[in-house]
Amino acid sequence: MSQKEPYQTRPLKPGGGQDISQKEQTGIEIATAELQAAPDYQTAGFGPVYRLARAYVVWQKYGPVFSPAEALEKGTAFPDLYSPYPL
Amino acid sequence: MDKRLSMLKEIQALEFFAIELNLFLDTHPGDRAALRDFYAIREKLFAAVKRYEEMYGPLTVFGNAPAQCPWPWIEDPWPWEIEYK
Amino acid sequence: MWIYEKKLEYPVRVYRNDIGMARFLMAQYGGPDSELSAAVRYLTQRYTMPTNKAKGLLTDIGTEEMAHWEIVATMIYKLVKGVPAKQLREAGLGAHFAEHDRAVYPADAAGVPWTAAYIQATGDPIADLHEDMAAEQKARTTYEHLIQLTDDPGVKDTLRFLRQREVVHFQRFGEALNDIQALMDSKKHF
Repeated sequence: MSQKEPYQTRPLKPGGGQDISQKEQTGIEIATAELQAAPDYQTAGFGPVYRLARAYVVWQKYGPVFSPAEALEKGTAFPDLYSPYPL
Repeated sequence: MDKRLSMLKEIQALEFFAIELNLFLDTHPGDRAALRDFYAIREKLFAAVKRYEEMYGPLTVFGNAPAQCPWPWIEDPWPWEIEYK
Repeated sequence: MWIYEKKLEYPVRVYRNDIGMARFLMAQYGGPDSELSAAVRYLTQRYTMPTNKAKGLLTDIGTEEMAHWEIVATMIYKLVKGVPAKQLREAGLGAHFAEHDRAVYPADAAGVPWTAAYIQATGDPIADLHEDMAAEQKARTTYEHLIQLTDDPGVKDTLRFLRQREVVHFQRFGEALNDIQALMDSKKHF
């Protein structure tokens, strides 16, 4: 299991100002515990890790294809990618 | 010319399909279904290219063209001159 | 290395002369978001990509873009073929004719010559792939503009083909980006 988490939330340390309530502190600790237990997000089509400040494109899955003649006319062999320009 | 054009268009369609699968395989190198279709289209493409080249001269050189006299590679029409109407 | 195949990727039909359209098509021949920019960009970036998928994809898409560059040149060539110089002048191609006759010179629609300043190769694969994806979107948009500018059915068909290719290329670059980001993640864990 990896030691580095993508997001680290630590319990707030009371100091300088008002102490946070016992209930709030427990709530934050629980959230941290949950993140530590499951730091990787499983999202179909994106692979194992899904992070902030990243761009992702859905992986294409192979499927039915156009015939070669139709593919040439349309500009792609894949119905999934076919996006005709309205005219 | 009509027969030549229809053979050329057949090659364009088959080769385009191969290019499209080629790009897919570049990012999905283990995809067996794509590889199966790629293999099937290659066979058809090679046969179509062979038929065309026998009648109308080479489509590629740099070692791919047969030694013929006069050298057929330079003959017109070149691709931008062909009327597809 | 490159081998040339003596055929176009797509059968380009041009039904009649249209000098104005030839000028607009120069945007995709020698302009900032042209097929030439795409080809040189991808073929340049491929040297410093960290994965085989990215090297293969940039080489193959770069090569296909050269084929598209040829298609755009063919459309321009056919659109001005046989048009007398006077008519070229009246349609706004006088300056081009003075310097280039009917040669298909790599410049944009305003006559500005193509430059490598239109492309970037940062050496960072994430930055490079994002640029490639943006380039595909810009090219797609330009083709949509060009499709609206013509009524010639042959030119429209060819432009639709080229536009659809940009959509597919965007998908592939996105997949290469996913793959490189996954690689970078896996390297963080020892």
